[in-house]
Formats: sequence, structure tokens, C-alpha cells
Amino acid sequence: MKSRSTTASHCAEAKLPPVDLSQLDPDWSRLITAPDGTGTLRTWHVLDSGSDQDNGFKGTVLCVHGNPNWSYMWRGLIGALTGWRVVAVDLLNMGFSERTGDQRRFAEHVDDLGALTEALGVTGPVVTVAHDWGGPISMGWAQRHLDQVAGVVLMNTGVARPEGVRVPPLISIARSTLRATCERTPTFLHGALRMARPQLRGEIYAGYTAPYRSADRRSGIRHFVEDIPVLDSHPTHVPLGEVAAGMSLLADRPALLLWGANDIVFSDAFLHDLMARLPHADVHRYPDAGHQVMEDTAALGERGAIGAIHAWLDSLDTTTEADHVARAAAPTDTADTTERQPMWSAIEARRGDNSAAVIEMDPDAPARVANTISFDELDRRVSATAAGLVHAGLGPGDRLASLVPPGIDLMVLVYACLRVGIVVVAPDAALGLDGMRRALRSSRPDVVVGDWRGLTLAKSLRLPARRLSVDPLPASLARSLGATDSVSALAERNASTSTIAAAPTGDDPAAIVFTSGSTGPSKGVVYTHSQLEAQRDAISAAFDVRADDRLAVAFAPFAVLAPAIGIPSVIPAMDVTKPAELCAADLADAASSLGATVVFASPRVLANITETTADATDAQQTALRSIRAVATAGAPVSPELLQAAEAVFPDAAIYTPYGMTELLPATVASADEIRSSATDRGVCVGRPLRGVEVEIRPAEAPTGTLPAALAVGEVGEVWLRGPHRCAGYDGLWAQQRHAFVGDWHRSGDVGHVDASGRLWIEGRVDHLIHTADGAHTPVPIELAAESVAQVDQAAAVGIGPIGTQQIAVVVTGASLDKAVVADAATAAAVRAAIVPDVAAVLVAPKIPVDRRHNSKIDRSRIQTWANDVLRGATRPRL
Amino acid sequence: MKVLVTGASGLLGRTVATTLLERGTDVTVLQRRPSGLECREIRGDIRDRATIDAAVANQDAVVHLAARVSPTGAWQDFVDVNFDATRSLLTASRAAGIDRLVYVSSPAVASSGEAHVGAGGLRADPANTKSHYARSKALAEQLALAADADDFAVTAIRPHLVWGPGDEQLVARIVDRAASGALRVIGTGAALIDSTYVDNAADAIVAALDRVEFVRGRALVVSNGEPRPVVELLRGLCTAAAVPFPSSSVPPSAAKSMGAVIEAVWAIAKVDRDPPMTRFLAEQLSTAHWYDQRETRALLDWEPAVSLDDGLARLTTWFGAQPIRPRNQDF
Repeated sequence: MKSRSTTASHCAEAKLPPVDLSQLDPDWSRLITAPDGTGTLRTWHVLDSGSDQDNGFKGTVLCVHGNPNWSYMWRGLIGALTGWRVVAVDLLNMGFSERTGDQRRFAEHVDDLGALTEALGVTGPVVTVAHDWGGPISMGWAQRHLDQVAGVVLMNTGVARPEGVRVPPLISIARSTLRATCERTPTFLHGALRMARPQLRGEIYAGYTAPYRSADRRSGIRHFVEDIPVLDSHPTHVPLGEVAAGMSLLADRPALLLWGANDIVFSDAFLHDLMARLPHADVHRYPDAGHQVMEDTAALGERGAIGAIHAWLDSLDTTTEADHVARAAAPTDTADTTERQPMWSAIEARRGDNSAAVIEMDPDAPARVANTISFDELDRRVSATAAGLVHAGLGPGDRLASLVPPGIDLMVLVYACLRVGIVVVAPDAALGLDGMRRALRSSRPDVVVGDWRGLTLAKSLRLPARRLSVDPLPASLARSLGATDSVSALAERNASTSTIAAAPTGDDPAAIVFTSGSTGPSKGVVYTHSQLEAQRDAISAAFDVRADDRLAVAFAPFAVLAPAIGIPSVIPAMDVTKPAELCAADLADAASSLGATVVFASPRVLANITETTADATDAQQTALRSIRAVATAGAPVSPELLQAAEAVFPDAAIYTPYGMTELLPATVASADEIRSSATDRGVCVGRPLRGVEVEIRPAEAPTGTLPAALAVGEVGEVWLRGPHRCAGYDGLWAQQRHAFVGDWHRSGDVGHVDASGRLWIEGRVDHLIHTADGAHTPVPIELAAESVAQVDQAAAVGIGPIGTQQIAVVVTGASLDKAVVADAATAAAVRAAIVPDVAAVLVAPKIPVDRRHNSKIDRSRIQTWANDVLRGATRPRL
Repeated sequence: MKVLVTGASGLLGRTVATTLLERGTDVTVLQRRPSGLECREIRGDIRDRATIDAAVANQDAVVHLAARVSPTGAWQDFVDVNFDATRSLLTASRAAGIDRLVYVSSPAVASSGEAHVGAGGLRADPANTKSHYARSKALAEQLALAADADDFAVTAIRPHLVWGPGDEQLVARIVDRAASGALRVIGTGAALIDSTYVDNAADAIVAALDRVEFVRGRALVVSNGEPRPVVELLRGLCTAAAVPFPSSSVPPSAAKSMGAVIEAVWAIAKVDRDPPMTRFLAEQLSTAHWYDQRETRALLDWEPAVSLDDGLARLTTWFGAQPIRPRNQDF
């Protein structure tokens, strides 16, 4: 016998929505009457775009809303798709469908949906698109119509409550006061709609509430809340469990998971649960969107939910142009005959070698060596730690987030993970606390390893990951931080275990690192083992690192690299969150401790070293003079900095590579090339490394296309490929599709290649200044402005609407008046140095730069400031 | 083509008439004071129907510039000159068989106090304008464009902040105030302001006469397309006139309330002179006002011939040739 609510609800016929709802085409609405799952005639309201025969019928997109929504949530999608019949249903007792007077539980909604699609004559391939309660209902439908299912799209939903996830307070409160909050008053309805970020505009909000204006229209909302099976005895527990178990039936169907990450109901844990059930699914997680993901991502254009579904549907059709392009762009299959050298092989090769592999200087006494480890000891600790991690239940493909500061412990952990095939998630401290939080949440680690600070962060995020400390913590601290064990204790207990499963293959994921966020929200970048190995080899080649070199590493991202090359390294005493404060004396002491021959540093660190060399002792200055190579990374080096660095390191070759988190290094510039900067537009970043190809293509090419390369000297977007290009982004399907086409990466940088093959960077695509005369790149304008004597730093930004922008040049200079508008002489000098018309020369208190490299100009922030200033704002803040 | 130019005693009207005369057009001018131009001249009040009827007789086209532009004054005065006289002129022009009319307007007709940042496609918004001048011009512009018909093409050209040698409006006021030490920069002085050198505005108006088929029924903003921070523009004008430029500034909010008080005092005292600061001017000079010129230039097939710098150079020459310094006013 079916369990039904005994309290009667109102009956009401289905009806058409009011014709004046914002963005809803009344032509899409229709009422359809058919027998429901029990044979009773019911009437549904559906939005139905009809078969688009003009564009070659591809199939049906079946959209199922959740609670307390209705088909209105799919209006943007219906308008966006061509070639598909889009059917968006209002579930019975919801939206403008019939009020049946009884309670329809989950299982009945699944039956009803099947009855409806039959009545609608939905034949041929079907892609389901669903949100919230619509998710399990659509999955129930899909599992019964496997012959029709061409793909499934799920958004902020779940088929089972993941282990350890409690019912959120919003739902608990709603369930304990069902009638009051869900039916008699619109409290639950408004609560759910106000979760939208940004808040819905008035007319859209009105569209969502239109079918639920009175208590007698809201019984369906109450019933859905009541139908959440909190207890195993709940009538929906079994049917929902069957759908969850049946997800494996869909393992061979394309799947797309779109997720608003700030959802207090369907948290990341539900996303991870679905990813585990549909491991092949394409995933795009929107870090700033919430439960109403369709609305929250509307402003993101083609990377929002509508754009992603559109593009993903296109990708199902194997004859699309983008796929042809991707295939054409794929690398020709050259059999790789050289044997792989795994990241840990150089350490293994030096087993028994008792010379120092890594030296750590003491942050509290920078001249003192804090710790040293030999190659032999490093090898043994890596093996023991690998065995310990395996013993702790970690294996290939699991994700381990490291919040361990650069140093010996970090190296041991990283190489142990690589050896086992555990994916190292490395949110570096330079991302800032907020950036690290976002990185950790987005990368869903299985385990987090850190010192007490890192574990405190992990705990505050309530990540479901296990927590391990680096070294054993006092029992009470370990308990309060939730640390179940320590990596060093695990290693010690397994020091004699020598059997580790087969080494990972070159195509297995090895690491996830993060973009700095200086050129957009920070993204997780996935590297495979062979890509990491190729990167190691590219770095060695780019900076001519030899077997007898010794590295002083003042650039955190490269801090773990030296052992993979098989050479010793020293880590100077520095605060990882403030790398720019490393002074010449401390670097010299570190270099002396090892007899370092090569220094890795960011341009900002290098600048600080040149500025503090005078404070170093003669002995320290002598130590610096013995350096034979200085490799910078992260940002371009100015000719002035180059000159200053050459004074400190007179015998050193100074290398400046260019690249990005997705492909680093890509080119390398010699000192002479940097000095040539004034001879062409932009900053010279040198020539591509061996194996790397660089091409300039038209800026702002449509996503998924591979436009033909431009000629020498022409300005466009910089595209690159090479063996050490990353595999892609982590859980950012729509972004991935934009940034990677075949084996190419489009960098978002603009520039040109000169007649002798050198690459010149002129700025970012997003920072092009689109005036009425055409697009101008910012860097040549900035360099021209900086050629004016009283100007230290300059940033060029576009003011006003794209296509009719004006150029503003924002400058800093110690001698400049503090007024916002530059004095007449400075403005005249800056304008005289620049070819296109400059509307305004402004003086800023500072030019903001990104956190990680401390050197990339944050033009977006400057642009916002300059726009405010030039609009007439009273107290503009930068 | 025979063209009637109303309001030729002003800087822009005179320049439009001169530009037409130079290319051999038969020009008639209508205004109260003698124009000093060598052409047919009708002197009279634009509010007078008989004067209008006499002026439009035997003409082919009209450029209508006559307007009351004062920042203060009684609303009815603005209605009489800017709205009613425009309506009379439209009626009389049609009756006289004139087939094209260029109504010279201002971007102020679309100004509700918000900044205009690269703005295009602005609609006249009389309900939200901030001055009698702007409201009366907005109503008149709507009237004029509504009169566009198959046999009577009407377009509105809106030059923004016209200036040049001999300008009694913008340049004289600013220079006079600077000379007497009464000029204050409002806020940071960074608000981006576009302006129009008078010859460019005149060329655009003549282009609108020639290409009325492309622009009929529409209103187009015209400017130099070289916006500058307001402090630079003011400094440029003062430098051209060789008067000292002030260094102190007034916060925009203070300037606006000051403007309100002074306007009220002026209204009570009925002083027949413009107050030093009105709210309208405060807004105009403390918020951005610059415009998307792409469509205007394409439709009119016109480009400004005189750049901002060239214009300032011409202004410098003109001031240098003046026998006496500009008069000092005591506020």
C-alpha cells in the first residue's frame, strides 16, 4: 500500500503562466493531459521549444526543476539551444501544473515523468538536465529509458546523502515547521530564492514566485521538503536508494556536473559523491556561485551554466567543427623512444651517497644551517614515507593536499607521493589565506598534511579530508586539530617495508598546482607524471643546469625541484608569505653553506637583493659574486633590474623565462634580449625553448576554435604547446574548453613574434584597450610612459565602454605631486612619449601587483580605480 | 540651397553662418543684435511669429540655434524662447515649404545628474534634467524630432561644451573667474570632460544639413572626441588667456549645496547676472561627460578638423590679439 499524506490538499487545474513574466516566451508554454503513473488523468504545464527541424533535429533536452522552483529556471537555456527540442516540465503540484490534492512522493514523480514523456512523444536521443530534487527524478527516469539517454547534466543535487553530511539547519527547520514555513507562508520559497548570488532582479524574482502566490498553491513545496528521507524508515528511502545504486547503469553515458560551490544544502560533498558515481563526468565547479547556479552564473556568458550546457551538448555531436579542430590540432603520434626518467629516479640513483642533498637555513638565525639531509637519507625517507602513506590507506589517484612549508619535509612528502602515484595538491602560501581556502575546497583532497597552522586551516574549512601532521603533535593538540597520525611516525613504522605497488605511468595525474589569480580567479592546474618530468628537463635545459651545479632556491614553486635533477640545493631563511623580503646577506649565507652556483628567484626578490647588497659584508658579497647563473621566474625583468643584478652577480648569466602555470618555462630571454626592449613594442621574452612552439593567433577567437596563425609582427593572442604543457584544469570544464584546444594552450597574453623569432609580450587579452580607432596593447604604452624621467611605474588602462574606450595612463613617481591628475608638465611629457591619444594621466599612490610574484601589475584593479576617478568619484580608493 | 540660421549672434551660430557663406551658400541670419556678417539679416525676436514668418520665406533649409542658455532664470522665459519659439519655427518652416531643419541641441537634454561615460544613444529625458535650460531644450528636441516627416526632414545635433575664440559662454566665464581669483576646481578635478571646438561643431551641423537623409529623426552628440580631466581643460583655457590657474579645490557636495543656496539668493534678488556656481554647472564639471562618437562620425561622414591642442593654440593667438584684457567680474 502506498503511503499517502492523510491531510487533504487543494485540487486545482493546471494553467498557463501569466503572459507578462520576464524573459519567458508564452509560445513555449503548453498544457498536456495524460494518465499519470497510476492511470489517473493529469494535466502538466511544460515549456516546449518544439522540434527545431531547421537546424537538424539532434534530440530532446529534458529539463527537470527542483524545489521550490519551476520550469522558469530553464528559460535561458531554452532560448540558447538550437537543433534541440527542449522540454522543461513543471512537476505535478509544482509550477503551473495540476494540484492533485494528494502528496506525490519521489517514486511517483519518477513514474509521472515517464508518463509525461510518453504523452509528449519524446522519442530519439534524450539528454536530461536537472537541478535539486529534479536530479534524482531525472536519474530515475534515465535508468528506465537507457535506450534513449544520450547524456545527463546534473546541478547542485544528490542521489544520496554522503557519509558524515548532516541535514542542514535550513532543511531541519523547514521539516519541523512544515506547514508554517513551506505552505501557509512563503518562508521556504523566499529563503531558497534569496540564496541567489547576486540577488535576483525584481522581475525575475517575481517570475519564480508567480505559481506559488497563495498557500493552496504551495502544498507541493511542503511535500518535497517532507519527502527528504532523513530516516531509513522514510517511504522514499528505498526508492531513492535504488536510483543511487542504479547510477552505475549510466557509467557509459556522457555526463556533465555543474556546481555552485556556495550551496548550504548541496555542498561539495554531494558533488564528490556524484563524481564517484559518474567518474567519467565532465565537471565545472563555480567557486562564487551557490544553489541557484543557473541564475548565479548568468553573467559569466559562455562560461556560465547555460553556455557550458550549450557547448557540452555540441561536444556530444562528434561531427562538430570544434572536434575537427581539436583532432587537427592533436600532436602527430611520434613514438617516444627515450625511456622515462621518473621524478624520483635521480634520488634513487644517488642511494648510498652521503653528501648533502638539501640544506635548510634557520629562519630565526639566517646564517645558521637548520637542517641537512643527504641523498642517501633522502632516498630512505622517501621510501619509508611512501610505504607509510600506502599503509595509511592512500593509493594511486588519491589526492593529498600539502600545507607543509618549503623545506626537507616537503620534499620527502612530495617525492613519496609521486612514487606511490598519490596526486599532490599544492596550494602555495603566496595565494594568500583566502586563495588557499578556495584552492583546498575546489581540489577535494582525500588527506591534508600540514604543520599545526595548515591543519588549523583545514579544520576551519571542515574539509571531509583526513588530517595528518608532518611530525607527531602533542596528543591534545592532535586531537583538537583532528590529526589522526603524523607522516613521520607513519614513515618510521614502515621504514623496513620495501614493497610499494607498481610505479604510476606517465599519463597518471601527478600534481595539482594553482594559477596565481593575478590574471583571473585562481585555477587548479593538473600535471601528469610525464608532464612534470618534461618540465624538470625543460628547466634544466633553459637555465643550462649541469650535474655539478648547486642551487639556492628563493622561488617557492621551484623549491622541490633540485632532487629531481639530482643536484643539491639550499633553501634560504625566508618567510614563504613574504618572499620579497629576502635580503642579500641571507641569500649569501645560504649560498655559502652549499657553495651554490645557481640562484632561482623572482624579479621582486632579485630587486630586494640588489637593494640590500650594500648592507652585506665583503665576504657575503664575494659569495654572491661566485654565482654563475641566476634564473628568474614569474614576471619579466626590466633592463634596470638586469643592470643592478649584473652588478651583484658580475659573472652570472641571467636568464628570464616566460611561461604560465599551464606551461612553464616556454621561452627564455638572455640579458641582451632584455636590453633590447626599447627596440620593439612590448617586453622581449626571448625565444621558445626546444620542444616548445609559440604562435600568435587573432585575439578573442571564439572558444574551441583554432584560428590560423598571424604573420611576423602582427599582434594577437599567444598560443603555446610543448611536452610540459599541463593536462588541463581541475573541475573547470567550461574554462578548460576555452584555454586548451588540442594540445595548444591559449595563454590570454597578447604580443607578437619578430622577424628573428623572438616573442614580445604586450599585455593581456582582457586588458586590451578598445578605442574607436581599434585595439591598443597596454605594455608598449606603459614602457613609453616609464621612459619619462619623473615616472617610476606606469599602467595603461581603458576607460569606458568597449569600442569607444579612452586611454588612461596611471603613473607613480617619488617626485610627483600627490594630486590625482598629473601636473601639466608630467602629463605633457607622458603624452609626448605615447603615440595614441591619452585622455588622462593620473598619479596613483601605488601600482598594485599580484601576491605571488609581487610583480605582475594588477591592471583590473587599476582600471576600476581609474574609471572611478575619471567618472568623478570623490574619494577613490586603490 | 538657401539656409536660414537663427541665433547667429552667438559664437556657434556665427561660425555656422560663416562656414556656409564660405562655401557659397545663400545665408539668411535671424537674431536680435547685429551679427556683423555680410549676408541677408533679419533682426528681431524669435518669439515673434511675424519675424519668424518673414525669416523662413523663400528658404530651403533652417539651422535653429537661437536659445536662452543662461544657467538661471524663470522657467517661463526658457519655455518662451526654447520651446514655444521652436514650435512656431517648425510650423512656419513647413508652411513655407522648407524641406530640412537642423535643431541644435545639447547632451544636457539627456542628463539626469549621472555621469556620461562613453555614452551613446542617449534619449532626451525632460522629466529628469537638472536645469530649466536642459528641460526646455529636451522638450523642444522631442518636438522637433517628432516633426520629421516625408517632406520635412528634421535632425538634432547636440554639440557638447562648445568653445573657441570670442566665446561669451564657457571660455569668458571661466577666464573671468580665474582672473578674479574666483575659479575653484571641484573635487579631484579628474572627471573626464569632452568638449567641442567651435569650428568642428559648425562643420558637423553643416554636414547634418547635407546628409539629413542619413540622420533624420535622430539626435547625435557631437564632440572633439578628446575627453580630458576637467582640471586640464580649465587649465588649458586659462593658460590660453594668460590668467593664473587656481590651486585649491571644492568638494563636489559642497559645490552642489553652494550652488543651491546661490541660485535661491539670485532668484530672490532677481540679479540680472549669472551666479558663479549653479548645481547644473557643478554636476557638469564634477562628473564625467564624454560620448561615443563612432556613429555620429559615420553617419555625418565628418571628423573634427581642429584638435583640442590646435584649438587651444588658436585661442591663445586670439587672446594675444585682444586689445584689452577680458573684463573682471567681482564674484
